[in-house]
Amino acid sequence: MNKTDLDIAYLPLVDSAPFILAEHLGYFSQMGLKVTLHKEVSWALVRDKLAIGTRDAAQMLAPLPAMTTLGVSGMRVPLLTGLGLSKNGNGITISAVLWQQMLAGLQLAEDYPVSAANVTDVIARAARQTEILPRQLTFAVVHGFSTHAILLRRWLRSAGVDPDAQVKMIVVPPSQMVDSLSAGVIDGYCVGEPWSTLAINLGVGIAAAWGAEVWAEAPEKVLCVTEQWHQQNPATHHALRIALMHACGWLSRPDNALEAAQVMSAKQYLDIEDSVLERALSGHLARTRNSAVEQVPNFLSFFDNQTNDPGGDSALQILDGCNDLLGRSIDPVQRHMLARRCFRSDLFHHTLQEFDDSAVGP
Amino acid sequence: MLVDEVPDRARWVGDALAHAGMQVAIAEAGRTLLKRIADVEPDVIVIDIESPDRDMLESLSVLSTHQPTPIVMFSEKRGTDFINAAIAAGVTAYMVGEIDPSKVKPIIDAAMAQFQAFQGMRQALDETQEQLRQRRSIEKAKLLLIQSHGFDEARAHQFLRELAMQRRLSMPEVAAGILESAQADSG
Repeated sequence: MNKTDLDIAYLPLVDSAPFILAEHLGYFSQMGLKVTLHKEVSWALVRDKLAIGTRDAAQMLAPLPAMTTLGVSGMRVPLLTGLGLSKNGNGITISAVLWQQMLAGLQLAEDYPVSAANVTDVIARAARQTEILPRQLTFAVVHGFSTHAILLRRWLRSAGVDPDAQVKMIVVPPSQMVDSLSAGVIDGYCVGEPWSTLAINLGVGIAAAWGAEVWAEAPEKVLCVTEQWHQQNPATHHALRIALMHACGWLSRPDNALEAAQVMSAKQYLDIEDSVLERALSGHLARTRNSAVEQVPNFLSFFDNQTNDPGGDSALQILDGCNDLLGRSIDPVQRHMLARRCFRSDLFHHTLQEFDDSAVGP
Repeated sequence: MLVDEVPDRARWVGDALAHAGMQVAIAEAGRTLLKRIADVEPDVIVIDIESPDRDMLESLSVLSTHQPTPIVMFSEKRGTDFINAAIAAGVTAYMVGEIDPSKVKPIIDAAMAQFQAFQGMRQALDETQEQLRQRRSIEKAKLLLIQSHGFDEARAHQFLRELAMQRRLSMPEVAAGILESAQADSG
Protein backbone atom coordinates (compact mmCIF):
# COMPACT_ATOMS: atom_id res chain seq x y z
CA MET A 1 0.00 0.00 0.00
CA ASN A 2 1.16 3.52 -0.79
CA LYS A 3 -0.10 6.39 1.35
CA THR A 4 -2.52 5.50 4.17
CA ASP A 5 -3.10 8.80 6.03
CA LEU A 6 -5.54 10.72 3.90
CA ASP A 7 -7.03 14.21 4.00
CA ILE A 8 -10.32 14.34 2.11
CA ALA A 9 -12.34 17.45 1.23
CA TYR A 10 -16.12 17.65 0.98
CA LEU A 11 -18.85 20.28 0.92
CA PRO A 12 -21.60 19.94 3.55
CA LEU A 13 -24.38 18.65 1.25
CA VAL A 14 -26.84 15.77 1.41
CA ASP A 15 -24.85 13.87 -1.22
CA SER A 16 -21.65 14.00 0.81
CA ALA A 17 -23.27 11.06 2.65
CA PRO A 18 -20.83 8.41 1.27
CA PHE A 19 -17.83 10.16 2.90
CA ILE A 20 -19.55 10.83 6.20
CA LEU A 21 -21.05 7.34 6.49
CA ALA A 22 -17.83 5.59 5.42
CA GLU A 23 -16.16 7.37 8.32
CA HIS A 24 -19.01 6.72 10.74
CA LEU A 25 -19.34 3.02 9.84
CA GLY A 26 -15.58 2.47 9.97
CA TYR A 27 -15.23 1.46 6.31
CA PHE A 28 -12.11 3.58 5.77
CA SER A 29 -10.27 1.98 8.68
CA GLN A 30 -11.41 -1.49 7.62
CA MET A 31 -9.64 -0.84 4.32
CA GLY A 32 -6.49 0.16 6.19
CA LEU A 33 -6.98 3.90 5.68
CA LYS A 34 -6.76 6.66 8.25
CA VAL A 35 -8.99 9.38 6.82
CA THR A 36 -9.53 12.93 8.05
CA LEU A 37 -12.57 14.62 6.49
CA HIS A 38 -12.38 18.38 5.90
CA LYS A 39 -15.51 20.49 5.44
CA GLU A 40 -14.84 23.18 2.78
CA VAL A 41 -16.74 26.26 1.59
CA SER A 42 -16.31 26.32 -2.21
CA TRP A 43 -15.48 24.01 -5.12
CA ALA A 44 -12.77 26.44 -6.16
CA LEU A 45 -11.06 25.97 -2.79
CA VAL A 46 -11.44 22.17 -2.98
CA ARG A 47 -9.80 22.19 -6.41
CA ASP A 48 -6.95 24.46 -5.23
CA LYS A 49 -6.26 22.21 -2.25
CA LEU A 50 -6.23 19.09 -4.45
CA ALA A 51 -3.90 20.77 -6.92
CA ILE A 52 -1.55 21.92 -4.18
CA GLY A 53 -1.62 18.55 -2.44
CA THR A 54 -3.02 19.71 0.91
CA ARG A 55 -5.90 17.30 0.19
CA ASP A 56 -5.47 13.78 -1.20
CA ALA A 57 -8.96 13.29 -2.56
CA ALA A 58 -12.25 15.17 -2.68
CA GLN A 59 -15.92 15.11 -3.43
CA MET A 60 -16.43 16.96 -6.73
CA LEU A 61 -19.14 18.05 -9.15
CA ALA A 62 -19.22 15.53 -12.02
CA PRO A 63 -18.25 18.01 -14.80
CA LEU A 64 -15.33 19.57 -12.90
CA PRO A 65 -12.53 16.97 -13.32
CA ALA A 66 -12.79 17.24 -17.12
CA MET A 67 -13.35 21.01 -17.18
CA THR A 68 -10.39 21.61 -14.84
CA THR A 69 -8.23 19.30 -16.99
CA LEU A 70 -9.31 21.34 -20.00
CA GLY A 71 -8.46 24.54 -18.12
CA VAL A 72 -11.72 26.39 -18.66
CA SER A 73 -12.62 26.65 -14.97
CA GLY A 74 -10.09 28.53 -12.86
CA MET A 75 -6.70 26.85 -12.98
CA ARG A 76 -5.65 24.06 -15.34
CA VAL A 77 -4.88 20.83 -13.44
CA PRO A 78 -5.27 17.24 -14.70
CA LEU A 79 -7.95 15.70 -12.45
CA LEU A 80 -9.71 12.37 -12.77
CA THR A 81 -12.48 10.29 -11.23
CA GLY A 82 -12.63 6.53 -10.91
CA LEU A 83 -15.89 6.40 -8.97
CA GLY A 84 -19.27 8.10 -9.23
CA LEU A 85 -20.76 8.74 -5.77
CA SER A 86 -24.30 9.88 -6.50
CA LYS A 87 -26.87 10.37 -9.21
CA ASN A 88 -29.69 12.94 -9.31
CA GLY A 89 -30.83 14.54 -6.04
CA ASN A 90 -31.51 18.02 -7.39
CA GLY A 91 -34.59 20.16 -7.61
CA ILE A 92 -35.62 23.17 -9.67
CA THR A 93 -37.44 25.72 -7.55
CA ILE A 94 -39.26 28.80 -8.81
CA SER A 95 -40.50 31.66 -6.69
CA ALA A 96 -44.07 31.47 -5.43
CA VAL A 97 -44.53 35.09 -6.52
CA LEU A 98 -43.59 34.29 -10.13
CA TRP A 99 -45.88 31.25 -10.09
CA GLN A 100 -48.88 33.28 -8.88
CA GLN A 101 -48.09 36.03 -11.38
CA MET A 102 -48.15 33.52 -14.25
CA LEU A 103 -51.35 31.86 -13.01
CA ALA A 104 -53.10 35.23 -12.74
CA GLY A 105 -51.88 36.23 -16.20
CA LEU A 106 -53.22 33.03 -17.71
CA GLN A 107 -56.46 33.33 -15.70
CA LEU A 108 -55.88 30.10 -13.84
CA ALA A 109 -56.93 29.47 -10.25
CA GLU A 110 -54.52 30.34 -7.45
CA ASP A 111 -54.51 26.71 -6.35
CA TYR A 112 -53.82 25.32 -9.83
CA PRO A 113 -52.15 21.95 -9.11
CA VAL A 114 -48.34 22.00 -9.08
CA SER A 115 -46.80 19.12 -11.05
CA ALA A 116 -43.75 18.95 -13.31
CA ALA A 117 -45.96 18.87 -16.41
CA ASN A 118 -48.24 21.70 -15.24
CA VAL A 119 -45.34 23.99 -14.36
CA THR A 120 -43.55 23.60 -17.72
CA ASP A 121 -46.89 24.08 -19.48
CA VAL A 122 -47.69 27.28 -17.57
CA ILE A 123 -44.19 28.68 -18.18
CA ALA A 124 -44.36 27.81 -21.88
CA ARG A 125 -47.68 29.64 -22.22
CA ALA A 126 -46.60 32.61 -20.10
CA ALA A 127 -43.28 32.98 -21.94
CA ARG A 128 -45.12 33.56 -25.21
CA GLN A 129 -46.99 36.55 -23.79
CA THR A 130 -44.79 39.51 -22.93
CA GLU A 131 -47.52 41.11 -20.83
CA ILE A 132 -47.35 38.13 -18.44
CA LEU A 133 -43.54 37.78 -18.40
CA PRO A 134 -42.33 41.24 -19.32
CA ARG A 135 -38.72 40.84 -18.20
CA GLN A 136 -35.78 38.51 -18.45
CA LEU A 137 -35.87 35.89 -15.69
CA THR A 138 -32.88 35.31 -13.40
CA PHE A 139 -32.01 31.77 -12.34
CA ALA A 140 -29.21 30.65 -10.06
CA VAL A 141 -27.04 27.55 -9.90
CA VAL A 142 -24.27 26.72 -7.44
CA HIS A 143 -21.46 26.49 -9.98
CA GLY A 144 -20.93 27.34 -13.63
CA PHE A 145 -19.82 23.80 -14.43
CA SER A 146 -22.35 21.66 -12.60
CA THR A 147 -25.01 19.11 -13.35
CA HIS A 148 -27.39 21.78 -12.03
CA ALA A 149 -26.51 24.20 -14.82
CA ILE A 150 -26.90 21.53 -17.52
CA LEU A 151 -30.17 20.35 -15.96
CA LEU A 152 -31.58 23.85 -15.70
CA ARG A 153 -30.84 24.60 -19.36
CA ARG A 154 -32.54 21.33 -20.41
CA TRP A 155 -35.58 22.14 -18.31
CA LEU A 156 -35.88 25.73 -19.61
CA ARG A 157 -35.79 24.44 -23.19
CA SER A 158 -38.45 21.84 -22.36
CA ALA A 159 -40.64 24.75 -21.23
CA GLY A 160 -40.00 26.57 -24.51
CA VAL A 161 -37.67 29.12 -22.91
CA ASP A 162 -34.35 30.01 -24.56
CA PRO A 163 -31.77 29.74 -21.73
CA ASP A 164 -29.45 32.27 -23.39
CA ALA A 165 -31.84 34.93 -24.69
CA GLN A 166 -34.64 34.82 -22.15
CA VAL A 167 -32.80 33.98 -18.95
CA LYS A 168 -29.91 35.41 -16.99
CA MET A 169 -28.02 32.70 -15.18
CA ILE A 170 -25.93 33.50 -12.11
CA VAL A 171 -24.02 31.57 -9.47
CA VAL A 172 -25.07 31.81 -5.83
CA PRO A 173 -23.73 29.69 -2.93
CA PRO A 174 -26.36 27.13 -1.80
CA SER A 175 -26.78 28.74 1.61
CA GLN A 176 -27.83 32.04 0.00
CA MET A 177 -30.40 30.54 -2.40
CA VAL A 178 -33.53 30.73 -0.23
CA ASP A 179 -32.66 34.22 0.95
CA SER A 180 -32.07 35.45 -2.63
CA LEU A 181 -35.35 33.91 -3.78
CA SER A 182 -37.43 35.49 -1.04
CA ALA A 183 -35.75 38.87 -1.64
CA GLY A 184 -36.70 38.66 -5.31
CA VAL A 185 -33.05 38.80 -6.47
CA ILE A 186 -33.64 35.55 -8.39
CA ASP A 187 -36.76 33.93 -9.89
CA GLY A 188 -35.63 30.36 -9.40
CA TYR A 189 -32.72 28.00 -8.93
CA CYS A 190 -31.47 24.49 -9.41
CA VAL A 191 -29.70 22.97 -6.42
CA GLY A 192 -29.47 19.82 -4.28
CA GLU A 193 -31.60 19.24 -1.22
CA PRO A 194 -32.44 20.57 1.35
CA TRP A 195 -32.43 23.95 -0.39
CA SER A 196 -35.62 23.32 -2.41
CA THR A 197 -37.49 21.98 0.60
CA LEU A 198 -36.42 24.89 2.80
CA ALA A 199 -37.87 27.43 0.31
CA ILE A 200 -41.03 25.33 -0.10
CA ASN A 201 -41.55 25.04 3.67
CA LEU A 202 -41.28 28.82 4.00
CA GLY A 203 -43.81 29.26 1.20
CA VAL A 204 -41.44 31.38 -0.91
CA GLY A 205 -40.91 28.72 -3.58
CA ILE A 206 -42.55 25.80 -5.35
CA ALA A 207 -40.89 22.72 -6.83
CA ALA A 208 -41.00 23.19 -10.60
CA ALA A 209 -39.38 19.81 -11.23
CA TRP A 210 -37.23 17.24 -9.48
CA GLY A 211 -33.98 16.50 -11.28
CA ALA A 212 -34.88 12.94 -12.30
CA GLU A 213 -38.02 14.26 -14.02
CA VAL A 214 -35.81 16.27 -16.39
CA TRP A 215 -32.76 14.01 -16.74
CA ALA A 216 -33.37 10.47 -15.49
CA GLU A 217 -29.75 9.39 -14.99
CA ALA A 218 -27.81 12.55 -14.18
CA PRO A 219 -24.31 12.01 -12.73
CA GLU A 220 -23.93 14.30 -9.74
CA LYS A 221 -20.93 13.96 -7.40
CA VAL A 222 -17.74 11.98 -8.00
CA LEU A 223 -14.62 11.00 -6.09
CA CYS A 224 -11.86 13.19 -7.50
CA VAL A 225 -8.06 13.05 -7.29
CA THR A 226 -5.29 14.60 -9.36
CA GLU A 227 -3.84 12.48 -12.12
CA GLN A 228 -0.47 12.75 -10.41
CA TRP A 229 -1.82 11.57 -7.05
CA HIS A 230 -3.45 8.57 -8.71
CA GLN A 231 -0.19 7.61 -10.41
CA GLN A 232 1.66 7.83 -7.10
CA ASN A 233 -0.97 6.06 -4.99
CA PRO A 234 -2.90 3.58 -7.17
CA ALA A 235 -3.42 1.04 -4.36
CA THR A 236 -4.62 3.68 -1.89
CA HIS A 237 -6.98 5.06 -4.50
CA HIS A 238 -8.34 1.56 -5.06
CA ALA A 239 -8.87 0.96 -1.31
CA LEU A 240 -10.57 4.33 -0.99
CA ARG A 241 -12.97 3.48 -3.83
CA ILE A 242 -13.87 0.15 -2.21
CA ALA A 243 -14.56 1.81 1.17
CA LEU A 244 -16.76 4.47 -0.45
CA MET A 245 -18.63 1.90 -2.55
CA HIS A 246 -19.53 0.02 0.61
CA ALA A 247 -20.88 3.26 2.08
CA CYS A 248 -22.87 3.82 -1.13
CA GLY A 249 -24.28 0.29 -0.86
CA TRP A 250 -25.25 0.86 2.77
CA LEU A 251 -26.96 4.15 1.85
CA SER A 252 -28.97 2.46 -0.90
CA ARG A 253 -30.96 0.47 1.69
CA PRO A 254 -34.10 2.48 2.56
CA ASP A 255 -34.02 1.32 6.19
CA ASN A 256 -30.75 3.17 6.70
CA ALA A 257 -32.00 6.63 5.68
CA LEU A 258 -32.97 7.64 9.22
CA GLU A 259 -29.64 6.60 10.75
CA ALA A 260 -27.74 8.35 7.94
CA ALA A 261 -29.75 11.52 8.53
CA GLN A 262 -29.04 11.41 12.26
CA VAL A 263 -25.30 10.98 11.71
CA MET A 264 -25.10 13.72 9.07
CA SER A 265 -27.12 16.25 11.07
CA ALA A 266 -24.28 16.60 13.63
CA LYS A 267 -22.67 20.03 13.93
CA GLN A 268 -19.31 18.77 12.67
CA TYR A 269 -20.96 17.62 9.41
CA LEU A 270 -24.04 19.35 7.93
CA ASP A 271 -25.56 20.94 11.04
CA ILE A 272 -29.06 20.66 9.55
CA GLU A 273 -32.15 19.13 11.20
CA ASP A 274 -32.22 15.35 10.68
CA SER A 275 -35.89 15.22 9.61
CA VAL A 276 -35.09 17.48 6.63
CA LEU A 277 -32.10 15.33 5.68
CA GLU A 278 -34.09 12.12 5.96
CA ARG A 279 -36.68 13.40 3.50
CA ALA A 280 -33.97 14.17 0.96
CA LEU A 281 -32.15 10.87 1.48
CA SER A 282 -35.36 8.86 1.10
CA GLY A 283 -36.88 11.04 -1.65
CA HIS A 284 -40.00 11.96 0.36
CA LEU A 285 -40.72 15.47 -0.85
CA ALA A 286 -43.54 17.95 -1.24
CA ARG A 287 -43.92 20.30 -4.21
CA THR A 288 -45.59 23.15 -2.31
CA ARG A 289 -46.09 24.12 1.31
CA ASN A 290 -49.67 22.86 1.18
CA SER A 291 -49.25 19.70 -0.87
CA ALA A 292 -48.74 16.22 0.49
CA VAL A 293 -45.34 14.56 0.77
CA GLU A 294 -44.89 12.05 -2.05
CA GLN A 295 -42.23 9.49 -2.87
CA VAL A 296 -40.23 10.88 -5.81
CA PRO A 297 -39.00 7.93 -7.88
CA ASN A 298 -35.24 7.79 -8.41
CA PHE A 299 -34.78 11.07 -6.54
CA LEU A 300 -31.24 10.38 -5.30
CA SER A 301 -29.18 7.22 -5.90
CA PHE A 302 -25.88 6.19 -4.40
CA PHE A 303 -25.49 2.65 -5.62
CA ASP A 304 -25.90 1.00 -9.01
CA ASN A 305 -23.61 0.68 -12.04
CA GLN A 306 -25.19 3.72 -13.67
CA THR A 307 -24.26 5.76 -10.59
CA ASN A 308 -20.85 4.38 -9.69
CA ASP A 309 -19.33 3.93 -13.16
CA PRO A 310 -18.09 7.43 -14.03
CA GLY A 311 -17.47 6.60 -17.68
CA GLY A 312 -19.47 5.47 -20.67
CA ASP A 313 -22.57 7.22 -21.81
CA SER A 314 -22.96 9.40 -18.73
CA ALA A 315 -19.47 10.88 -19.24
CA LEU A 316 -20.36 11.80 -22.81
CA GLN A 317 -23.62 13.35 -21.67
CA ILE A 318 -21.71 15.47 -19.16
CA LEU A 319 -19.24 16.59 -21.85
CA ASP A 320 -22.08 17.44 -24.24
CA GLY A 321 -23.76 19.37 -21.44
CA CYS A 322 -20.51 21.30 -20.95
CA ASN A 323 -20.50 22.16 -24.67
CA ASP A 324 -23.87 23.72 -24.08
CA LEU A 325 -22.52 25.69 -21.08
CA LEU A 326 -19.42 26.85 -22.93
CA GLY A 327 -21.47 27.89 -25.94
CA ARG A 328 -18.98 26.18 -28.22
CA SER A 329 -18.14 22.61 -29.11
CA ILE A 330 -15.20 20.87 -27.53
CA ASP A 331 -13.13 19.46 -30.39
CA PRO A 332 -14.17 15.82 -31.08
CA VAL A 333 -10.62 14.55 -30.58
CA GLN A 334 -10.38 16.41 -27.28
CA ARG A 335 -13.83 15.18 -26.22
CA HIS A 336 -12.68 11.60 -26.74
CA MET A 337 -9.44 12.28 -24.86
CA LEU A 338 -11.26 13.92 -21.92
CA ALA A 339 -13.78 11.07 -21.70
CA ARG A 340 -11.01 8.50 -21.41
CA ARG A 341 -8.58 10.48 -19.32
CA CYS A 342 -10.91 12.04 -16.72
CA PHE A 343 -13.84 9.59 -16.43
CA ARG A 344 -11.97 6.39 -15.60
CA SER A 345 -14.39 3.54 -16.20
CA ASP A 346 -11.43 1.14 -16.05
CA LEU A 347 -10.71 2.10 -12.43
CA PHE A 348 -14.35 1.58 -11.51
CA HIS A 349 -14.37 -1.91 -13.07
CA HIS A 350 -11.17 -2.74 -11.23
CA THR A 351 -12.92 -1.74 -7.99
CA LEU A 352 -16.04 -3.69 -8.88
CA GLN A 353 -14.07 -6.91 -9.41
CA GLU A 354 -12.81 -6.88 -5.84
CA PHE A 355 -15.76 -5.16 -4.24
CA ASP A 356 -17.83 -8.28 -3.52
CA ASP A 357 -14.90 -10.13 -2.01
CA SER A 358 -13.77 -7.30 0.22
CA ALA A 359 -14.58 -8.14 3.81
CA VAL A 360 -16.14 -4.90 4.91
CA GLY A 361 -19.35 -4.66 6.87
CA PRO A 362 -21.06 -2.64 9.53
CA MET B 1 -12.21 45.67 -5.68
CA LEU B 2 -11.67 44.28 -2.21
CA VAL B 3 -14.23 41.74 -0.92
CA ASP B 4 -14.07 41.15 2.81
CA GLU B 5 -16.56 40.26 5.54
CA VAL B 6 -14.43 41.82 8.27
CA PRO B 7 -14.95 45.59 8.06
CA ASP B 8 -11.88 46.61 10.08
CA ARG B 9 -9.59 44.39 8.06
CA ALA B 10 -11.16 45.62 4.81
CA ARG B 11 -10.51 49.23 5.78
CA TRP B 12 -6.95 48.50 6.78
CA VAL B 13 -6.10 46.52 3.63
CA GLY B 14 -8.01 49.03 1.50
CA ASP B 15 -5.93 51.89 2.92
CA ALA B 16 -2.74 49.96 2.24
CA LEU B 17 -3.76 49.35 -1.38
CA ALA B 18 -4.83 52.97 -1.86
CA HIS B 19 -1.50 54.04 -0.42
CA ALA B 20 0.20 51.97 -3.13
CA GLY B 21 -1.57 54.13 -5.71
CA MET B 22 -4.59 51.94 -6.45
CA GLN B 23 -8.19 53.01 -6.66
CA VAL B 24 -10.00 50.71 -4.21
CA ALA B 25 -13.70 49.81 -3.93
CA ILE B 26 -14.66 47.78 -0.87
CA ALA B 27 -17.53 45.32 -1.32
CA GLU B 28 -19.46 43.14 1.08
CA ALA B 29 -19.43 39.41 0.51
CA GLY B 30 -22.71 37.66 -0.25
CA ARG B 31 -25.95 38.59 -1.95
CA THR B 32 -25.09 42.11 -3.10
CA LEU B 33 -21.64 41.24 -4.47
CA LEU B 34 -22.71 40.36 -8.01
CA LYS B 35 -24.47 43.68 -8.49
CA ARG B 36 -21.53 45.60 -7.05
CA ILE B 37 -19.16 43.92 -9.51
CA ALA B 38 -21.46 44.82 -12.40
CA ASP B 39 -21.60 48.44 -11.19
CA VAL B 40 -17.90 48.90 -10.43
CA GLU B 41 -16.41 46.74 -13.23
CA PRO B 42 -13.14 46.26 -11.33
CA ASP B 43 -9.79 45.52 -13.03
CA VAL B 44 -8.98 42.98 -10.36
CA ILE B 45 -10.83 41.39 -7.44
CA VAL B 46 -9.13 40.68 -4.11
CA ILE B 47 -10.92 38.09 -1.96
CA ASP B 48 -10.38 35.74 1.00
CA ILE B 49 -9.25 32.34 -0.30
CA GLU B 50 -11.78 30.72 2.08
CA SER B 51 -14.75 32.79 0.87
CA PRO B 52 -17.90 30.92 -0.29
CA ASP B 53 -18.21 33.54 -3.06
CA ARG B 54 -15.24 32.16 -5.00
CA ASP B 55 -17.35 29.79 -7.12
CA MET B 56 -19.52 32.71 -8.15
CA LEU B 57 -16.47 34.80 -9.11
CA GLU B 58 -14.93 32.01 -11.17
CA SER B 59 -18.20 31.33 -12.95
CA LEU B 60 -18.67 34.93 -14.04
CA SER B 61 -16.75 34.50 -17.25
CA VAL B 62 -18.51 31.24 -18.12
CA LEU B 63 -22.12 32.10 -17.44
CA SER B 64 -22.38 35.69 -18.49
CA THR B 65 -21.02 38.32 -20.76
CA HIS B 66 -18.94 39.79 -17.93
CA GLN B 67 -15.36 40.47 -18.86
CA PRO B 68 -13.27 37.79 -17.14
CA THR B 69 -11.54 39.43 -14.18
CA PRO B 70 -8.28 38.38 -12.50
CA ILE B 71 -8.69 37.32 -8.89
CA VAL B 72 -6.13 37.70 -6.12
CA MET B 73 -6.59 35.71 -2.95
CA PHE B 74 -5.60 36.61 0.57
CA SER B 75 -5.53 34.51 3.69
CA GLU B 76 -5.18 35.26 7.37
CA LYS B 77 -4.38 31.71 8.41
CA ARG B 78 -0.90 31.45 9.74
CA GLY B 79 1.03 28.37 10.62
CA THR B 80 -0.13 26.45 7.57
CA ASP B 81 1.83 25.96 4.40
CA PHE B 82 -1.29 26.32 2.34
CA ILE B 83 -0.78 29.87 1.11
CA ASN B 84 2.89 29.29 0.35
CA ALA B 85 2.06 26.12 -1.58
CA ALA B 86 -0.75 27.97 -3.34
CA ILE B 87 1.65 30.70 -4.45
CA ALA B 88 4.12 28.04 -5.60
CA ALA B 89 1.34 26.42 -7.65
CA GLY B 90 0.59 29.69 -9.41
CA VAL B 91 -2.33 30.95 -7.34
CA THR B 92 -1.75 34.64 -6.77
CA ALA B 93 -2.16 35.16 -3.08
CA TYR B 94 -0.73 36.93 -0.07
CA MET B 95 -0.97 36.72 3.68
CA VAL B 96 -2.97 39.51 5.29
CA GLY B 97 -0.60 39.95 8.21
CA GLU B 98 2.26 40.54 5.84
CA ILE B 99 0.55 43.17 3.81
CA ASP B 100 2.63 46.21 3.19
CA PRO B 101 2.02 48.53 0.27
CA SER B 102 5.34 47.83 -1.39
CA LYS B 103 4.61 44.07 -1.42
CA VAL B 104 0.97 44.01 -2.45
CA LYS B 105 1.29 46.10 -5.57
CA PRO B 106 3.70 43.66 -7.26
CA ILE B 107 1.42 40.72 -6.32
CA ILE B 108 -1.57 42.37 -7.93
CA ASP B 109 0.46 43.37 -10.99
CA ALA B 110 1.70 39.78 -11.26
CA ALA B 111 -1.86 38.46 -10.99
CA MET B 112 -3.04 40.70 -13.81
CA ALA B 113 -0.09 39.77 -16.01
CA GLN B 114 -0.56 36.04 -15.32
CA PHE B 115 -4.27 36.34 -16.02
CA GLN B 116 -3.67 38.03 -19.36
CA ALA B 117 -1.15 35.34 -20.29
CA PHE B 118 -3.73 32.68 -19.42
CA GLN B 119 -6.44 34.41 -21.47
CA GLY B 120 -3.96 34.62 -24.36
CA MET B 121 -3.25 30.91 -24.05
CA ARG B 122 -6.95 30.09 -24.11
CA GLN B 123 -7.47 32.17 -27.18
CA ALA B 124 -4.46 30.58 -28.89
CA LEU B 125 -5.88 27.15 -28.06
CA ASP B 126 -9.23 28.08 -29.57
CA GLU B 127 -7.50 29.35 -32.70
CA THR B 128 -5.47 26.16 -33.09
CA GLN B 129 -8.61 24.09 -32.76
CA GLU B 130 -10.34 26.23 -35.33
CA GLN B 131 -7.43 25.78 -37.75
CA LEU B 132 -7.53 22.02 -37.20
CA ARG B 133 -11.25 21.97 -37.86
CA GLN B 134 -10.79 23.97 -41.05
CA ARG B 135 -8.01 21.73 -42.30
CA ARG B 136 -10.17 18.69 -41.63
CA SER B 137 -13.12 20.10 -43.58
CA ILE B 138 -10.83 20.86 -46.53
CA GLU B 139 -9.57 17.27 -46.48
CA LYS B 140 -13.13 15.95 -46.30
CA ALA B 141 -14.27 18.15 -49.19
CA LYS B 142 -11.32 16.96 -51.27
CA LEU B 143 -12.19 13.34 -50.52
CA LEU B 144 -15.76 14.01 -51.61
CA LEU B 145 -14.55 15.50 -54.91
CA ILE B 146 -12.20 12.57 -55.47
CA GLN B 147 -15.04 10.12 -54.91
CA SER B 148 -17.78 11.94 -56.84
CA HIS B 149 -15.77 13.48 -59.71
CA GLY B 150 -12.94 11.01 -60.05
CA PHE B 151 -10.41 13.82 -59.36
CA ASP B 152 -6.98 13.06 -58.05
CA GLU B 153 -5.76 14.90 -54.92
CA ALA B 154 -3.99 17.71 -56.80
CA ARG B 155 -6.98 18.30 -59.09
CA ALA B 156 -9.35 18.40 -56.07
CA HIS B 157 -7.11 20.96 -54.38
CA GLN B 158 -6.97 23.08 -57.55
CA PHE B 159 -10.74 22.88 -57.91
CA LEU B 160 -11.29 24.14 -54.38
CA ARG B 161 -8.79 26.94 -54.86
CA GLU B 162 -10.34 28.10 -58.11
CA LEU B 163 -13.81 28.04 -56.63
CA ALA B 164 -12.56 30.06 -53.67
CA MET B 165 -11.03 32.67 -55.95
CA GLN B 166 -14.12 32.90 -58.15
CA ARG B 167 -16.43 33.38 -55.22
CA ARG B 168 -14.03 35.50 -53.16
CA LEU B 169 -14.24 33.07 -50.25
CA SER B 170 -11.60 31.32 -48.18
CA MET B 171 -10.73 27.67 -48.81
CA PRO B 172 -12.33 26.50 -45.54
CA GLU B 173 -15.53 28.39 -46.39
CA VAL B 174 -15.72 26.74 -49.82
CA ALA B 175 -15.01 23.34 -48.25
CA ALA B 176 -17.74 23.85 -45.66
CA GLY B 177 -20.17 24.84 -48.45
CA ILE B 178 -19.39 21.70 -50.44
CA LEU B 179 -19.83 19.49 -47.38
CA GLU B 180 -23.12 21.15 -46.47
CA SER B 181 -24.62 20.78 -49.93
CA ALA B 182 -23.46 17.14 -50.07
CA GLN B 183 -25.17 16.53 -46.73
CA ALA B 184 -28.33 18.23 -47.99
CA ASP B 185 -28.31 15.99 -51.11
CA SER B 186 -27.93 12.81 -49.12
CA GLY B 187 -30.33 13.82 -46.36
